Amino acid sequence: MNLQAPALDLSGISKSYPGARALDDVSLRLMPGEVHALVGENGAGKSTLIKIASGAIQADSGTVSVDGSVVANASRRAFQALGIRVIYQERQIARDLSVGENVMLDRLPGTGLVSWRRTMSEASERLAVLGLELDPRSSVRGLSVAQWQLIEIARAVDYGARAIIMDEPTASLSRVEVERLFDVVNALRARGVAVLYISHHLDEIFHLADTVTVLRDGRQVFNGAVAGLTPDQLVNEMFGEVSHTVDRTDSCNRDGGPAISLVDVHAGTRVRGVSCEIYPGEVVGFTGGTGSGTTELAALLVGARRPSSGSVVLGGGRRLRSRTGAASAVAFLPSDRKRRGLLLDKTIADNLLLGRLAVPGPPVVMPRRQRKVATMLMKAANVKSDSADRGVRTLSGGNQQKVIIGRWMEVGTPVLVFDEPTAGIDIPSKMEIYATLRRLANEGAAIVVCSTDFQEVGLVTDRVFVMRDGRIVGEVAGALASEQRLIEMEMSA
Amino acid sequence: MKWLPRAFRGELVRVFVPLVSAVVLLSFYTEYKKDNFVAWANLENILLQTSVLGIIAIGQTFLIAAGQLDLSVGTFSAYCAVLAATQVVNGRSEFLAVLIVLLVGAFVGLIWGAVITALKIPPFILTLGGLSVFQSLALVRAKNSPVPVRDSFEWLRTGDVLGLRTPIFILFVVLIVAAVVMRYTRFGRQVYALGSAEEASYLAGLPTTRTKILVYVISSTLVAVAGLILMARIGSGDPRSGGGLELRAIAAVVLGGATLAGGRGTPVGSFLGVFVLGVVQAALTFLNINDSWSDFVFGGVLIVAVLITAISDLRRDNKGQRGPLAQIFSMRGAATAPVQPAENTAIQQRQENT
Ligand SMILES: Nc1ncnc2c1ncn2[C@@H]1O[C@H](COP(=O)(O)OP(=O)(O)OP(=O)(O)O)[C@@H](O)[C@H]1O
Ligand SMILES: [Mg+2]
Repeated sequence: MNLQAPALDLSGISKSYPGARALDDVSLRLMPGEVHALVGENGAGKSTLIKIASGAIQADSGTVSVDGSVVANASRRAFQALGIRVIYQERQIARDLSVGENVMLDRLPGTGLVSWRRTMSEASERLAVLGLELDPRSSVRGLSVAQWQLIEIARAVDYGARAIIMDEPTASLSRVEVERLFDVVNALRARGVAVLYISHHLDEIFHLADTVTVLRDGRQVFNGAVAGLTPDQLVNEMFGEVSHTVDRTDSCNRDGGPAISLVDVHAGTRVRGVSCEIYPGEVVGFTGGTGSGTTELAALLVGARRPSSGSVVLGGGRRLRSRTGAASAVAFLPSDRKRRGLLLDKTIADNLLLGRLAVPGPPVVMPRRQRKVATMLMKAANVKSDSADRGVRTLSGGNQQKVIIGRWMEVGTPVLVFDEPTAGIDIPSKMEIYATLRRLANEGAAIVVCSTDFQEVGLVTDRVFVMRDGRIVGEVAGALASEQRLIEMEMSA
Repeated sequence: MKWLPRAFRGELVRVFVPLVSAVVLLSFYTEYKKDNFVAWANLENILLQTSVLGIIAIGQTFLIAAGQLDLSVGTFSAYCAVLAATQVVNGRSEFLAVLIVLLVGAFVGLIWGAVITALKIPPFILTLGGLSVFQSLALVRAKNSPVPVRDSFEWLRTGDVLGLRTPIFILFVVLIVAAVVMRYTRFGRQVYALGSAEEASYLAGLPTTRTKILVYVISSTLVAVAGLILMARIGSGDPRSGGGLELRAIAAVVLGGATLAGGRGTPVGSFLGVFVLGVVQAALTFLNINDSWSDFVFGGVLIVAVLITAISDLRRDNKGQRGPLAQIFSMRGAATAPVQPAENTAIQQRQENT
């Protein structure tokens, strides 16, 4: 018998949206010092559940209790005061404030007047624990999504909290940072803080969690200890059967010269002298830790950033000078979907059709035809919603990502650059996306995947470039790019 | 209503029909009081009075949908009026005067667009400066008093085209072309994409710079057209005639369903917004209400409209992009729209802000 009151107790939670039953009678109990994983496919209801558990939205029915007492109709702030801290799936960064102020956003130190000295020193300490060496006085604007993610983790980690909820904290982190986060979570557990941890990475679940709850279509389908489970059993609970192989037929064609090439490209201190050639029909990966320069490289490849020296040359010898008008040559999937990828106030259809709007085409568009195309793309990209006319905002994070990928299907662009294409995507959808990338390559496109996920590049690419500090430090064939091998290459160089 | 293009059908059924019937009833009523049953004359009057504002508002719709704004449209229309008048007074032909004014309009738009895109400045302050500059230029050119055009521009003042008074005809042509461009062309869709998320559109590879410059060119050219009508209707190029039109135009566009954040708004909606303001104005005149109240009523209509938009945004259905007018005049729509919980929108708003 455990006489301790649960730190957080959700019972009988239901929540509906127009066209979607997000949660149906879900119960979840989080004991002090427990690491509880919450998993399930994209759109299963995970984020909705944690928004309810933290007072961001209200359930249609069911109760939330903290430390054994029911909290009714409370605001975010009230939950915060009760010791419930959250890292939401989408970044919550005040873009005009400094790094330090963002870390200390909800607890600026000082009595009456803010003590900036303490704000900055405490922020540095919190960031250092996560391995992020940043001047707390600098601006957050130029930072990567991974750095934003770390800032938010630093903000939420509190050893005096009752429970800390993390919604896909590792979706955009690289291996080293993930390991640091593990240390932090273990330290929290040791101090009796409960952690609710959402992730699509099963290895993380098995590494960290004591218990796991599986959601499927808003219903709870499994709840139990991790100890007795095998990964296959868990996958089976989540999705049913999933294939884990990607058909990697070699379709690379070097006869006609490269589809795109980098010639000694520099971009400030972030990319320092990268040269490589990418041919039609191949999938090429760029990988490395955060700050290794893969995201900058993606921006350079598509013309969104201008090299400070060197050049990006398209097939046929044309130099790429700007993003505008380049869509018919290079398609781009940026890593920061909420800010850089989506038209957030528009419908799913509008977002899917954006790729077509970017490439040349007939000046007149017929709404009826457009609707058909949008519906076709929505199916092809496997976006979960009842209608393409719904706001893209109403989709779960993973489904939003699928929309941005779907945008570039059937457009016929010769080069496609994907920066972190599967951040926040569930396993079956990942496999589908990999299949899609391979299909596009087989049809003759050159595909670039920039990813900090070693498993991913090992699975989908023909060749992998490993980067560190803005330089290419190694190249390996995709078939040989095991995680272990990539780690070695990254370290040894 | 199958014969109507979709663009008009939705709006028509939901908005036009109740609105137009309300207006027609009002005109019948007012005309009846004056022992005159010809409702069309009344409607025509309202349309004539709103043609200048209508054309400016349609131009502003392109800007606002693209996330842009131009505060100089009122004084610029006055400048165009003065310019046209002085050209004719100086002995140029009407045709040449019109051509010059239109070219000046397009050129000014090009300058706005080029400066705003090249230097990445928010248009608000820049065009606020433009507001003063054009006011001054108009006064200087007109030597501080209206420049009469005597019997020039009769065709624009009293002429008819296809049975419609020329300004009304022009207004309708502009309206239809604008509605078609916004809905059925790639350019129009690119305008909405630009207005909803500039960076995402840019990264997707849309020609954002070109689109931005073009919306300024379109708007300023339409302002020049409006300036010509303004001049013809008062019979002189009056340097003070365009005052306040910019705010009324923006008000009408918002009334018609746009948001200043960009990405929303339709020419048809904006025209309706202008028309509602015109009807309110006409009703005030008819009811002999002291002129001092007219700004109060105008402001009141705007505030109510904004409140309705805000409230409906809090509980808007997933497709919901209807303007306040549509909300007011479609009881059915309002009753059946699925209600989205307010708090949800609130977080998303917060997520947006961060
Ligand atoms: N504001 C909203 N309006 C309408 N439907 C919504 C809204 N928010 C979420 N939904 C729907 O609720 C369901 C659950 O969404 P939720 O974001 O909780 O999924 P999730 O499990 O977090 O998925 P992911 O792994 O992709 O993040 C989805 O079908 C989604 O479309
Ligand atoms: Mg989620």
